[in-house]
Amino acid sequence: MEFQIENLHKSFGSKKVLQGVDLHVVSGEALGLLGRNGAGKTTIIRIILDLFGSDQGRIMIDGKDIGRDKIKIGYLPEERGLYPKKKIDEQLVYFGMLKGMSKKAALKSIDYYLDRLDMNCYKSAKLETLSKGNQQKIQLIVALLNDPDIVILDEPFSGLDPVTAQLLKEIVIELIDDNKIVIFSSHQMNYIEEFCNNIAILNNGRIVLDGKIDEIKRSYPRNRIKIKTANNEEIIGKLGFPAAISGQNIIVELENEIQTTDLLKELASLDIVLESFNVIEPTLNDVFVEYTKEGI
Amino acid sequence: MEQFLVVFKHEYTMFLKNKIFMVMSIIGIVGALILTSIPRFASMFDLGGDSNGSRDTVVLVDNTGNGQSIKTMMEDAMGHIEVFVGNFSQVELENKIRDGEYSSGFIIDSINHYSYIVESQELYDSKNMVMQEILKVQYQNYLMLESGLSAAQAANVLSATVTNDVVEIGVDQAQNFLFTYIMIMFLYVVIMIYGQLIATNVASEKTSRAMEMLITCAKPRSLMFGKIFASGCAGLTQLMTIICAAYGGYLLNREYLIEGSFMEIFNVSVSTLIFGVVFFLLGYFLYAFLYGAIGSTVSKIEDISPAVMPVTFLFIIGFMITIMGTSSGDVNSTLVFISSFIPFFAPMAMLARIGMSVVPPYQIAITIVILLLTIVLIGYMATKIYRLGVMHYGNRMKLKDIFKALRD
Repeated sequence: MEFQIENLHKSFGSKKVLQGVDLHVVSGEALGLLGRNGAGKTTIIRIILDLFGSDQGRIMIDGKDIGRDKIKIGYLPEERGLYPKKKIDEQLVYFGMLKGMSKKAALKSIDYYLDRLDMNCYKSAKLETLSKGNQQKIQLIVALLNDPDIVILDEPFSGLDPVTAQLLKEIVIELIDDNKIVIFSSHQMNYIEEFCNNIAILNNGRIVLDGKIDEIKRSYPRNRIKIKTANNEEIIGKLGFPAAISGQNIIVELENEIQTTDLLKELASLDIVLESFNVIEPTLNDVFVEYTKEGI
Repeated sequence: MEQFLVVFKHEYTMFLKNKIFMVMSIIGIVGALILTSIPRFASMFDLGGDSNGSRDTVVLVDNTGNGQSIKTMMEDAMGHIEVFVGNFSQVELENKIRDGEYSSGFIIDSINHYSYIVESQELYDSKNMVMQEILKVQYQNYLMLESGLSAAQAANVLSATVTNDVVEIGVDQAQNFLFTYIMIMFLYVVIMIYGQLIATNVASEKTSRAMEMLITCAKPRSLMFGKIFASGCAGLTQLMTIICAAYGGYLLNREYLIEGSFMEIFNVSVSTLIFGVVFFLLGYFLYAFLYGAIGSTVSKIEDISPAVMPVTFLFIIGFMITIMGTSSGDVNSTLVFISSFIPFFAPMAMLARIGMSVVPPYQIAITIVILLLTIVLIGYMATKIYRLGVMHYGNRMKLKDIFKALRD
């Protein structure tokens, strides 16, 4: 299955929120939708969910306009909250039935996910008695309850402890392996890097950068090398390239990528213990900041 | 439709489990039982009253020589009263009343003037009225004898009366007044309470952010309509329970009911009753949609009161116009007449007109059509506002924000 957004425009009053957004994801892949606060991420998600219409543009599945009765979308909103005073299983059944499930099917799915997320003991507890992270798990169950084709997760990792985050990671990987389309919106770049083959950076209502993370990183000059030796101080003087010590490492500035081999040869000729040798790639964070620092 | 039913069922059970709802129902049931038991209590009280002999003691100081006959007439006219003819000065009498020896006193100075001395006059003091009537007749009699009429002639004049027959071809206002009044009061209370409940319910879903999930699981129309129909049905359930309690109370206390007093409330025509239900439902839906839409424009519970104020005012104005109309007896005054075609006032105003006068069927039809159209329009707008409102957080939306958003 192929999910595609084409030339999406949306204005609120005189404020142009989206100005021609294109996105593309296929089954079994995750897309990281990045953007600063107010860039228009939530607006895109809400248009996908049909909470309001777009001024222009199309949302397509396999080249045809999306049929919302046929495609199931699971959504975990950034704003967390359900009915605080209702029992967990009661409200999960309610949401499942709203999504068109039978009570029986909903209960089965609820049992599976409560078990999967280690939440079985809270089944008949009131939501408000749960910790914030656990409430978030319940909300994740709502999003996944009816086995959606497209899963949209808005900041899914915020506020989770490392163990829960790990659990969520596993579930996301399962979703991807299960050929779902996963769309992530997050500021936590490390998670995006972990799951998403593709990213799209949104700024001022436009996609300013999109593509595969590897290719994006590769497009940056790879002329900075980080090396670590047993004795950095001694080595630095012997190198034929401009270098500086940074923490435990030496950062070498080359003129171009080809010189990497020359540096390696030079290091090999020195009689030293080389502990590590890395080409410095830009982090997703660097890329993000570079593309979005122009104001909103 | 399926979604609507799911929402309906969920909201309906939520209502039944709601503590405020339960307390309201219990108060209603207890109130109905107490009201229907009043005749029983009243009869018990009456028995006690007689045996205690707690009679009203009145002193009569007469300077005209008719003391004994006035005393007799007074005691005949009033039930629990004992009249003592005495000879005190006004100061003495005032002291005796202040000390509690007597409850009140009359000093008749001349045939056409008297003073009534009492600690504090009750709102409807019948003693004074009776005395005034007795003395008036005596004075009239005196004047007639003075002018040369014989005693028989004077008695003839005084006892002259006119008989009449009332041929009523329309609606008996007096009989329907109580029923109409109760229906309007009921409509008012139910819409006021349920309207607020709906607004609070929607707003609390926003506050708890459950809305974010709901809106992505179900269509706004299903959510809005499900909620409004559910609260309507919850209201009817409550109403039926209270009516059943009242009927139970009536059965228990039937023997104490004075024939032709209490149950006369329900002695109205079937058509009036049906119109009562029709306008009740129309009024309910009209205001329920408005309150629901308003609830979706606020994101904090404390913002609800100022936000619903305009609608509440509109509703109260309609109520006041109708109640003033029914109280004055002129339910076809220009004001009530016009109001019965203004959607926001019509449910109550038209109900009053139907209950207490004869309204041409075409006018009723016009009002029903106007109301139905308005409900469809408001329902449509309310769903749109709800859809926009539920995603609007922060300051509550002003009217101009809502219109601006609707245009977009």
